[in-house]
Amino acid sequence: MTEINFLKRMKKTPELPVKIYSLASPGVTMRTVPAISKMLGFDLVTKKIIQNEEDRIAVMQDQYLLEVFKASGGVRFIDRSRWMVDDQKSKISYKDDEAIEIATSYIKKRKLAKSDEFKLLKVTHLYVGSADEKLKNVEERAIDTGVLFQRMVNGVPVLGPGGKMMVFLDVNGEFTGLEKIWRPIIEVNREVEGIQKPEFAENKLARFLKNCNVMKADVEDMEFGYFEQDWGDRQKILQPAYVFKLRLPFNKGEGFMKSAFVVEAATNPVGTLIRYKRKTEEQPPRV
Amino acid sequence: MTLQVRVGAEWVNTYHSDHCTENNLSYRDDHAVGFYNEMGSHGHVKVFCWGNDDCWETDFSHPTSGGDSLNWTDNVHFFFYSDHGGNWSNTMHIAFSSQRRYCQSASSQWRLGAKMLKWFVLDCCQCVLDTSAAHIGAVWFGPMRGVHMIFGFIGNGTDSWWNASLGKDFGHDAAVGYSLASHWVDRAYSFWLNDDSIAIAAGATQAEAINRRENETVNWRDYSVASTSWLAWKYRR
Repeated sequence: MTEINFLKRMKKTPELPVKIYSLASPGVTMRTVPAISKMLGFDLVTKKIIQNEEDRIAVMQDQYLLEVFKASGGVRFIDRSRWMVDDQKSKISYKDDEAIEIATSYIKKRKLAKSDEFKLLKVTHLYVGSADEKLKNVEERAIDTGVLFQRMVNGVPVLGPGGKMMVFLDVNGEFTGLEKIWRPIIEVNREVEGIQKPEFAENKLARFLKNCNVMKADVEDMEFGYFEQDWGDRQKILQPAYVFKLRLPFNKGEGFMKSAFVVEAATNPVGTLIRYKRKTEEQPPRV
Repeated sequence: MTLQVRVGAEWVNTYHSDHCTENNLSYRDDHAVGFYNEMGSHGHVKVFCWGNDDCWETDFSHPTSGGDSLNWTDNVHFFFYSDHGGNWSNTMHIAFSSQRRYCQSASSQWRLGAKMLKWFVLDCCQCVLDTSAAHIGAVWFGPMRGVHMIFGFIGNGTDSWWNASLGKDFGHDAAVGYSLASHWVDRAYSFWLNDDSIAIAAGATQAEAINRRENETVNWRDYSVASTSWLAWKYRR
């Protein structure tokens, strides 16, 4: 049995207006990528530069790199000459509020999402530092801003690695890159008949951890919302979920490995969001 | 085209109840094997990939500390490690499920880059605990003996299925010749999982360490670090 320590618990069943949605197929092909490129203001000189890789279609022209992921439709677009690059002297001279305004304007200009479909999640910064061995010369500067937005569906947050959009700005507040995982909704797949109580999710978590032979886990947080997956995941359904953030002690608590667990929340879900790990292929004993 | 590099990986998911006991993990093989195979699929040389009880502490320790690193971790250019890790007393520790000599390896026994190693991914917790120059320097000036760069996390990392593609994603970026530090920091950062990523580059001078941090790709394989007199790092928070 796993020893579970709940540092945070959800006391009431959430009462949010949720539905179960069907998501559009990404439809990422050599033919559709030029349109995505154009939407981002990146005009291709020739279609010959489009590379069809196993999991993505990549376009490299001058200093620009565009990657569109086949499974998710996720987009990564960067100016390689300026994205996360240090000029060795400058530091950010604008405030976070200005960065949010610039990033929001970019999203509006490029029609990347409607204003009621996202909210600010965090303003991040990229820092660079250096030091000599005797620490006589120490330097640190913030050189970019990453403004991260979270997708909202009728006021309900989208949790998980997907449903996110990050706009990168350089030291002068100029655009240097975009990362976006945001699968389009096509229709309501089914109405939600009811939401499971938080205890249902906790029991699922306990069973999962026991199955994984985890001895001890701390539950640091529990959230409710829709759940959208990562770059490389195919996902056809967007449905409500409970998400747990965990930590697993290492060396009797000297350190922790974080983990997470997600379980469908509707009483009439489509499939399950619980992923039992496939059995790892045994290696022959090393000699 | 990029220069061809030799690649190694090790990972641990499953521990034992009677020795080397730790919490089991689930996705370390996805990370390490994902990186290993992705590098291989782009023409780089797959040398070894050991998992669970085949992952040995002696593969990391230098012969002066009784280890065999020169035949394993330091016999490849790019090494990816994925498992439990912890940092205490300004010393990095990583865990093993099989006890060759010890159940953990401490960075005080490492001489990273003494032979061949250029890039070392610590896909585990606590590569550093914070970003003060004093702490980063105290942990990493000692073990970096020719290695060009270390990649890891500030504080704890995450073992879950929704970041299981980290190794593959970074492997792709490294294999095709993208700048290593920026792409690690970008791929490994996750606000959602509260993962803060860091890359630390070495150099004989400040200019060299910064140049590596900003521009180094696998094509810099043969541009050696003559001495680790400077560190230059990059992280997102």
